Amino acid sequence: MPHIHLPEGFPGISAGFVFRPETAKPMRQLAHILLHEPGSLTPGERELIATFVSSRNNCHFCQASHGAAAACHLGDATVVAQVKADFLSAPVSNKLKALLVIAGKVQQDGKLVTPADVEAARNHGATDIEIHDTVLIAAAFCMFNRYVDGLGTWQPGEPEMYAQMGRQLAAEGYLAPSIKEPLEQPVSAG
Amino acid sequence: MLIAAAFCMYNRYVDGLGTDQPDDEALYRERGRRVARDGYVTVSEEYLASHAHTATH
Repeated sequence: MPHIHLPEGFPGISAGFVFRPETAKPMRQLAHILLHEPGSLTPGERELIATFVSSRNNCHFCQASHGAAAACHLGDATVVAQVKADFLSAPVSNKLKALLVIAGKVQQDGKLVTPADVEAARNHGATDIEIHDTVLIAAAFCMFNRYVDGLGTWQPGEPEMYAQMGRQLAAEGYLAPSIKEPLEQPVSAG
Repeated sequence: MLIAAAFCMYNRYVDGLGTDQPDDEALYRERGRRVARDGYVTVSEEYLASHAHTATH
C-alpha cells in the first residue's frame, strides 16, 4: 500500500508524478536529457546504466521499465539480464564496462570513485561528457529509485506492462507520461 | 521523501565527479545567505553567467 493517498491505477513513479506535477516536470526533463536526447552515450547504453543502478538499488519498477527500454533500444533483452547479473562478463563494450564500474560506485557513495576508475574509462575512449552523464545517471537513479520505493508505490509484476512502457519510452522519451490513463489495479495490490 | 531522495542524487553527483569542495566556512555562510534570500535558480544563474563570461574571455 502507498504510504500517502496517491492516485490509484498509476504504477511506480507515475503515481508521484500525477500527485505532484510541479516536481514531475523537472524530473521528467532531467530523465529525458539524461536518457533520450543525443550528444552522449547511445540511449541503449544510458538505459543499461539506469537499469543496472536500479537493480543495485533493488527497485523493481525502475529496473523493469528501464530494462525494457534498454532491450527495445538494443533489440536484445538477454544483454540487459547479463548486465544486471555480471556486467564484466556481459557482451558490452569495454568502455561501457568501465563506466558501469563508476556507476556502481556512485550508487554506493560518490567518494568511492577513484582517479584510476576515470582513467580506465578514458583509456577505453569515454569522453568527459560520457563520464559526467554516467555519474549523473547513477546519481539520479538513486533519487528516482528511492522516490518510487519510499512512497510505497504500486509496482505491478506483469512483464507485459513493462514491455509496453519500454517501447513507449524508447520511442518517445520522458517528457510526456507513458501511463496516460489509470490502469486496473488489483484490490490486493501492494 | 522527495527531498531525501533528491539529496541522494545531489550528494552522489557532487562526490562522484570529484568536485572541488572548499573548507572555508565563510564561503558556505555567504552562499547560504544568498540561497535563503534569492533561491536556487537565481544563485545558479549568477554563477553560470559568470562562467560563460570567463569561458569567452
